[in-house]
Amino acid sequence: MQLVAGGDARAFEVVYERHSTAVFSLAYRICGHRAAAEEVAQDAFLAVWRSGARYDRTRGSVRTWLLGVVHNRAIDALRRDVLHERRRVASEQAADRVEAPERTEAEAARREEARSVQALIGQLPDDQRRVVELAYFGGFTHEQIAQMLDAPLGTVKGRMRLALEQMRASMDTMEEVAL
Amino acid sequence: MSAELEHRECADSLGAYLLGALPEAERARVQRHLAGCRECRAELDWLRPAVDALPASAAQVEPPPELKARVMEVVEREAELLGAAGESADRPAPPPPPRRSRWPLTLAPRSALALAAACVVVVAVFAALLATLGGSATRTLRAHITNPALSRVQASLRVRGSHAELQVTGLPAPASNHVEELWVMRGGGPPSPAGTFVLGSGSVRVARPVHRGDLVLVTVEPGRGSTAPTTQPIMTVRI
Repeated sequence: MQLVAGGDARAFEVVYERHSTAVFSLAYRICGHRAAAEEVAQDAFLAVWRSGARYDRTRGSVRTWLLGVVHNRAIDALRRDVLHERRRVASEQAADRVEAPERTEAEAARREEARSVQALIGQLPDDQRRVVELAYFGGFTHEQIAQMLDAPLGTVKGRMRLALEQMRASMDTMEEVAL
Repeated sequence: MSAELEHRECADSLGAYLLGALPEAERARVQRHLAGCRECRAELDWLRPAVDALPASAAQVEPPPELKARVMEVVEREAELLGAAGESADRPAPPPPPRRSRWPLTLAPRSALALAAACVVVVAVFAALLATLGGSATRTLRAHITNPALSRVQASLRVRGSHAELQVTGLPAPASNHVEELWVMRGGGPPSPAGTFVLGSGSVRVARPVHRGDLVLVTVEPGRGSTAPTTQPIMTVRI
């Protein structure tokens, strides 16, 4: 990232190659439409290119930072309501989705990671999983979620917190098993 | 609200906070509490990897090759501009010898690009203002936010004579033990410190006279401020 911060296009290309599938996948998951996902991913990559010097390795990996940028931009786009209609249409026409091939060992490892995280989320009770997905991938505030689910605000907040606690505890257990 | 109640409310909201589900005012309240509560910060740090893992649960979808082509086209064009700016910055200038730039090495080329972009915006705004104000009295110049993470921040510089005042709205608090610092750059000279501040919304005086053509910058600096910028500008205004 130091090279990227110094304006090295080739170094940036390496970052792009390494993370573009994850970036595009998250953007697509949130936006629900390829064109919108491309727009968000392009925006995010250029933002990272132009602000590489702000990456602080003590705050996490490049991947986490980059995906944080993508998440914020995709949610901003959603909240501007521009994409809501597109997402509705796209969810009915999922035919344009092209699954990424497992080109490298790294890709295969990421798919394994994806399966692990999906399993973690799958273990959550339905009401907890729903609030996490609505908040993180849907961009809804806890107030909107409370209205949608006709549940008290405190209950929604509680479910969010419990869901993350359970996921985190399972991650700790998985790490211990791996050791 | 009692400290205990505030603590309990913050602890209850940590999940929603990490998931980005809090409205702005509540989010700011949690951030303020976190700044002073080690227990909540520790809890936040423990929970955060669960949220960081969520993107991995999305079905992996291959981006189209055109996306890379579009991104790299912009990147290569800008890298070329940066390279050109770097070379010219290193070239010896005619007498009197220019003072050496005090920008960090990694910052200089980036700043050149940011400043070039800022100029385009500011010149347009300035021209419009001249047309309406006839170049006199108080002028309000819109700041160019150079940090994409702060795209929601509104900032402008009110200039009257050689006095300037920066007005900001929605500027997030800097990391603990950091401040925002104002700088004024004149001609090809180094940035001169022009005061520090920590301000979410409001105005702060530029503690140095300004003139037409000056560039006013804001950076985030450690401690009580620096004598030369140590980070990239988060916003710029050309006067």
